Amino acid sequence: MKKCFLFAATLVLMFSFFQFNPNSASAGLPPGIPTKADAQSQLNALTVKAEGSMTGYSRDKFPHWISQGGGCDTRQVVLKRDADYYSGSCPVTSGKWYSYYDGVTVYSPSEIDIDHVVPLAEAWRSGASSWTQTKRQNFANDLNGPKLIAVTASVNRSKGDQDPSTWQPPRAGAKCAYAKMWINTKYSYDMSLQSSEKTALQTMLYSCSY
Amino acid sequence: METKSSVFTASHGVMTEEVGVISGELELRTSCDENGALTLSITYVGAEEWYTLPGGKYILNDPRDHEVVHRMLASVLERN
Repeated sequence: MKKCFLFAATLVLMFSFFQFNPNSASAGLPPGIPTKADAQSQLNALTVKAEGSMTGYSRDKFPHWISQGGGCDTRQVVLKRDADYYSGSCPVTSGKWYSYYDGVTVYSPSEIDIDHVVPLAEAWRSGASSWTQTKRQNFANDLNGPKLIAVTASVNRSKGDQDPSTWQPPRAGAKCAYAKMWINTKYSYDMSLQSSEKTALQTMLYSCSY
Repeated sequence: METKSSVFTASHGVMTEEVGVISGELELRTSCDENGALTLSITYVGAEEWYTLPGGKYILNDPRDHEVVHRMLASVLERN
């Protein structure tokens, strides 16, 4: 009887240590990814335009990882959201993350970056240079829809500021969702795109089965 | 201290320490002090912050080599 109790207590302890994310079935994907048809009409609605200049750009003009309440910043919220499970709370100290872009699984938050699906520099040359600072801050911390995603730091560094005409996720199976996320983000903020980028996105979207 | 600057296009990008790959119209600045110590930095043309190129401390045996090192770097980093 005593052994049973101990066993049960151990189980309870184990489950309270790790918090399981109810959305983990989505395997590292953020919420709000549009259907193929919706992504297509959003792509069609985007303005094709040559990229603007980088004059005046700095990351300080996109204040990011602001407080989201409860002692958590935007990075910590996405770390929790995209984890299969995690322990600790702001800061998250360990857990399990499946990096959708490269298919790599890591267990330490220090190996995870929160990627701006449309990079800050890319946003600047696609219209954000003329936004207010408040709008840029909202963009850089936007938890609605698929605008931020937890991926390995290494894949995030190799992506850098590039658009889908020069960089796509190295995991072939990720290209469809990546295109939809990119299109949806540009559509939500009425950002322009250049024609090589549109061609790449269209090719990626054709590969989607739904 | 001597500073040299080149502007070029890197459509497939250049790796930086701070922000990963950056692409487009870039400006490379290299500085060489009298002891030959090189500093390498890069930015978007017209932007307000600079990034560091990966790599350790580089010391030229002769600071007069700065010119050719700068030109080599700018040529290698420019990829269309």
